[in-house]
Amino acid sequence: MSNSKKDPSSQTESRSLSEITYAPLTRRSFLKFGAAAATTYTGVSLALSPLKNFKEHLSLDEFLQQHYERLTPEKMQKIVARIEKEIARDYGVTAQVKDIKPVPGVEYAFALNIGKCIGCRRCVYGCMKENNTSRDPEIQYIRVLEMGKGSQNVEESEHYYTHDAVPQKDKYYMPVQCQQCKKAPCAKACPIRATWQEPDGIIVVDYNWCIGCRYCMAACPYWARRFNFSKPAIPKEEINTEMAYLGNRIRPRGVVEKCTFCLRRVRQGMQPACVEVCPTGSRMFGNVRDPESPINYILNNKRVYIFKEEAGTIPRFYYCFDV
Amino acid sequence: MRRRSFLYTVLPLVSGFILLVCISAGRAGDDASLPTSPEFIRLPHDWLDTTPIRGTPKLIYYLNKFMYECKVCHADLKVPTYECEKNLNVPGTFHMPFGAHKDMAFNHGLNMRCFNCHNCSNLGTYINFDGSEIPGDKPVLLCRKCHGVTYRDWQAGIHGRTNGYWDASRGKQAKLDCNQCHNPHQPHFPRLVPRPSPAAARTKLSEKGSRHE
Repeated sequence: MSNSKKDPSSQTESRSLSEITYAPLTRRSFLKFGAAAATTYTGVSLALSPLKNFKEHLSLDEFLQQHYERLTPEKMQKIVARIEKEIARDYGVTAQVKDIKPVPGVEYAFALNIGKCIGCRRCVYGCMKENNTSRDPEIQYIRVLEMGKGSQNVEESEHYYTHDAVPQKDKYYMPVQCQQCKKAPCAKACPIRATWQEPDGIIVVDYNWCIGCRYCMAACPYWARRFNFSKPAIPKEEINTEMAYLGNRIRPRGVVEKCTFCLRRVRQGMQPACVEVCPTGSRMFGNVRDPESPINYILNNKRVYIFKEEAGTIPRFYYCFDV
Repeated sequence: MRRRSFLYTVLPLVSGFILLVCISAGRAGDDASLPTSPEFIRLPHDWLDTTPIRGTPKLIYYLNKFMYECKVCHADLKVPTYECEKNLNVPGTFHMPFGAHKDMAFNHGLNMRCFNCHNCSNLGTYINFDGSEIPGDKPVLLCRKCHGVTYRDWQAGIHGRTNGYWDASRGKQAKLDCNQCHNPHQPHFPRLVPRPSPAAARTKLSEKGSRHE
């Protein structure tokens, strides 16, 4: 505060605050300014109040988490414990999340006999139960196409068929899911390597690394990938509490997910869920490096084709038929 | 005069009626020529239900929730299979008022002779080509008599479902028997009720979704 009221046009002497603000600091101006400041402060803090809950969406540990391929077992333990806590907080179930490593010397392949598939969609729902996909909005990894006899006209296939009983006359059914391609365009398109091919052939997604840009979804020719537009909503009693970090744990909002050949099951030697529930037995799964496996029997003895072979993706999913 | 009135009134009416019947029969909605068994088309509530379509049936006769061994009505004939028909006056039967075996449908293609599979000397077992017995709890040994290619596929694990473990060294693999999926008298795999269509075409989740709901 200056000690005297000087001429404002004078440049050489320091000016008081009141002179600089072009208003004398009176009680009135203080109250005006104070009211404006209080309103602004209230408005800004109200607007920023959702950030109070930010810790629920992204904790500091998760923000600083490394890529899966760089994690040590100790770090993995902490991460898994944190994920279990978050699932318990959000869904009210005690989950068991494990990091299951691939079995060495094993490469998976899937075969599906479209002569036997009747289009009952039990595989679709068995997969949902096993993999904890969101029920609302509904995410299904497998899409069964109802196609007319005589050609493979996918553009005119029916995705949303509803009948009293299947199969319908002159139709055949082709379920499509992630083909775990050897030359996967999705893994190539990911800008940050949030999705990559594991040594046993499964294309996996690190849900904590994925930024949700959906380049992989654009790249996939089979429409195999799904995006979580909102937080998955699953009824508590339908949650499968045995989860794997790269597989069927409940995903956060804003990440991409897809069929992982039931990674949690197959890396422990079990059949995938869709194979277990198929009533006709048209799905077959196995280790393609084992000459005695059913997959090799099919590749050697049955007529086998690959979906969208011209895309050059070299899938591990083989469609076969009996004649 | 009379002839002409018949020609112009009754004949067109009758022929029109016949034509209408033919057209409406040809337009029957869902094709019903494939077999549909009502007891098979229930939807399991549990989405991971792995029960086979026909459960685990036994070689026994079911009537009104009771089970009867074949011997209860039919005495063993103790003749070779090729003489079964000659001796088939079913000794030892007492009258079943409702017509036993009337509820069964038989549609096994050219296999229309009961004693191709059933052993009249020992009902409760099956018969082989050389007249030897096949145990009643091993239907696969019976079906492979004619369905060799399917049997070979079944042995390799690609006909019918394999439950359990793909890696036999880490757990058990469970293969199904033929009659757990196929009704031996009507073996075509039954039609099933499909699970609901994907949600984009449904306004609310329901057991039987419809796009126009």
